[in-house]
Amino acid sequence: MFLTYLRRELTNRKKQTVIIGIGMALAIALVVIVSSVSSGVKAAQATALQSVYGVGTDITVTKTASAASGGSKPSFNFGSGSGSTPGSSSGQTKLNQSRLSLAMGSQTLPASDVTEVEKTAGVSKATGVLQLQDTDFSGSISQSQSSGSSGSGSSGSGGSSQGAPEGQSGSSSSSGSSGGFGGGNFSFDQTSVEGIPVSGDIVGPLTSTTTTSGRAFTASDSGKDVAILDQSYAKTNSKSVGDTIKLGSATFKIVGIVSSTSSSSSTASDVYIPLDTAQKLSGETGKVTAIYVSATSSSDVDTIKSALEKKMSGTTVSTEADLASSISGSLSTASTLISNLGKWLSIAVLAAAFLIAILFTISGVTRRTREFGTLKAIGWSNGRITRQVAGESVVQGIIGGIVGAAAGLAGILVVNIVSPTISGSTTGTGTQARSTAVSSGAPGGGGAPGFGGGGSTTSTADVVLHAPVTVDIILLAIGLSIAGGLIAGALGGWRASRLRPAEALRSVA
Amino acid sequence: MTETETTIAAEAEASAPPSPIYRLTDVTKTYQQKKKKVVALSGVNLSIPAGQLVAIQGPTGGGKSTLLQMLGALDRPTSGEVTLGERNIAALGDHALTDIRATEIGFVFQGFNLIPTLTALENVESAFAGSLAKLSKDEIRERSTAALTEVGLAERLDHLPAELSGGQQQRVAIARALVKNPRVLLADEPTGALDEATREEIMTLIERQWKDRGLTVVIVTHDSWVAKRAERRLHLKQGQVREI
Repeated sequence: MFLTYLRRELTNRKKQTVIIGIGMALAIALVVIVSSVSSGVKAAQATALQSVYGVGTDITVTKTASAASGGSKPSFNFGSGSGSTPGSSSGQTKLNQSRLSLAMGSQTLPASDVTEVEKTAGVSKATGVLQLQDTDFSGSISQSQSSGSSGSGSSGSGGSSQGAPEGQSGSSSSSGSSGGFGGGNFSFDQTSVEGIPVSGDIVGPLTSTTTTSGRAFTASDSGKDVAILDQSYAKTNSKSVGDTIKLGSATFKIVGIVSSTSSSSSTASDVYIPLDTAQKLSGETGKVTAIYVSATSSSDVDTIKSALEKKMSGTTVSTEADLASSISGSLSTASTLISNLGKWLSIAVLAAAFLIAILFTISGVTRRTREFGTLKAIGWSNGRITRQVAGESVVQGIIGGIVGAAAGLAGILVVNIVSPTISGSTTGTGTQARSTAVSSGAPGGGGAPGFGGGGSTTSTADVVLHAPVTVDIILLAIGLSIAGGLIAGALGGWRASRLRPAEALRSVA
Repeated sequence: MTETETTIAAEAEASAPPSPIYRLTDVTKTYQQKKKKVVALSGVNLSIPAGQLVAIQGPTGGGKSTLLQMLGALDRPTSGEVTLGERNIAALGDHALTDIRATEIGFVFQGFNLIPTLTALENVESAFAGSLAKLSKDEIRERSTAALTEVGLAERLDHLPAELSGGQQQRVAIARALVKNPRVLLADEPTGALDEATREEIMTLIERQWKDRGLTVVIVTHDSWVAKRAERRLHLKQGQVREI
């Protein structure tokens, strides 16, 4: 009887069923789409962060930046013998210097801090890394030919160097000693280099990468001039395993190529080298620039953050949530849009749908006063009438939920077909990011080298927004529709059960 | 003996008078309507023997419907006792009253009160409530079909109320009231919405069921033609009952 009555009511009162169903479907569809896109945006944020911090990093510890400190701006000084002149007739002097130094904006922490962090309660693993940048200056200058000066002379190594000596091309020869400056052409390349522990990395930048060729670091690589390259960097520079790469004054043998496992196009740095090698070459022995921390449980993250801040003064402790807030660009806009407009719109539509369902159910009960009074008069209990009304509402809710979930899935499909690309930029936190600046000057003047913003580093990752369909989202849709039906049904049923059975007779008395 | 104190005894049979199915003792029912107290029944004493066909007449507002509600276990008196068989309705809880309505009392209404979305057969099946709802689906279907056949609607089982005439709808309502084999049939203006020809049909049907089943039938009516067909006529005015 229950199902027959329910079916008859729903099919014979189509208008009410359709209105409640549409209201519920609209709300559920919106909730499904917003939830899914929200998951997609969160995943995109995680991707943007992973490209910099790696997988599994819950907290990063860096030295608090101060205006007057940090990685120094590299300077290049060339003496009179700093260039090389291939031929006396060319009138050009080639200059080349390469320096490996702390990344812009990076400051160091003692490596012993890594052990200190690891000892903190709740910390599963901590890894210290040294973020460097290799700055390569190369180019040529032309000398204007002056009358009366001819011939060639070789010069010694009389150039003065104010910067670190490494990487400076020391030998040079010049033609013409009295010519004027005839213009030049310079390029200025920066390569991000990261010194990482050679032991298996369970937290840190390489956790979000996969080795596409060659191998990962092993314990025997400690102290050696070996390097692992980011795939896109290797491709751009036509490098492969077995080749060499010059960083500062040293030449590294490439032992592996890695690529990002996330949808980000590149990994955190261009080149990875053993931590001790990096410390030695940069003169930062016993120093790291960032500590990546993995927590035993995600619920401990805030506690660990507080403990580390108390224990290690002068450091900046950032959680994943802090890092997410550092993301800017369209990804940030999408996140704000979803968390504000999307959430509140969903709540508003859901509340409206619930209200419509409740009002229609109660109004339906009022219209059916005589019907329920009659049923009570012929022996139906309050419970049976309440169950009947609630059953009708729940089924209306479920119909709305199914239609809404289908509409929501269609919406998600559209999002995934369109696959909007959103850009996320992470800034600050002292963590090194990729940047390569190349500039060339027109003859007659030197080009300004393309340094990034002084002191802050930026990493940009273009992430394709994928709105995932999960069981959770489907369960959420069904749960909400049942909840809406139950609330409306409970209120309607309660009202029906309060009707006095005498109503049926009174209406004709 | 005053009119209000009159105890109306069942007409005694020659050999052994049947025991009363209803016994109302000093029943009073008052309502609070806005700030005014309305006395619907005032010290009613009444005894209705089992198997009697009783008609209750009286002006609107005289207490007819209130009396029917007391007899139908739909309401409790403000004071006094309403006994159905051996049970005092005034002292029973809601659950027990619901069960009495489900198993012992059949109702027929002036406006038929069928569920508009259910077919004739389903309307009759809806009468299986309380302990009767535990019967098998097949038995419920079988008994409902038989009840509709008995009232002459075997060909109309799958019709919705809107597809039936007024007389046919009232027949469905009578089948719904009788399908559970109640002890009492209470009818509130059962012919009030029908034309004369149909009125005759319905009264004939009720009388036949009353005789065949040995039912106790109480009909509230304004229609003297209907009242005259009853064994016994009562007049209810200003909350007080008297024999006609």
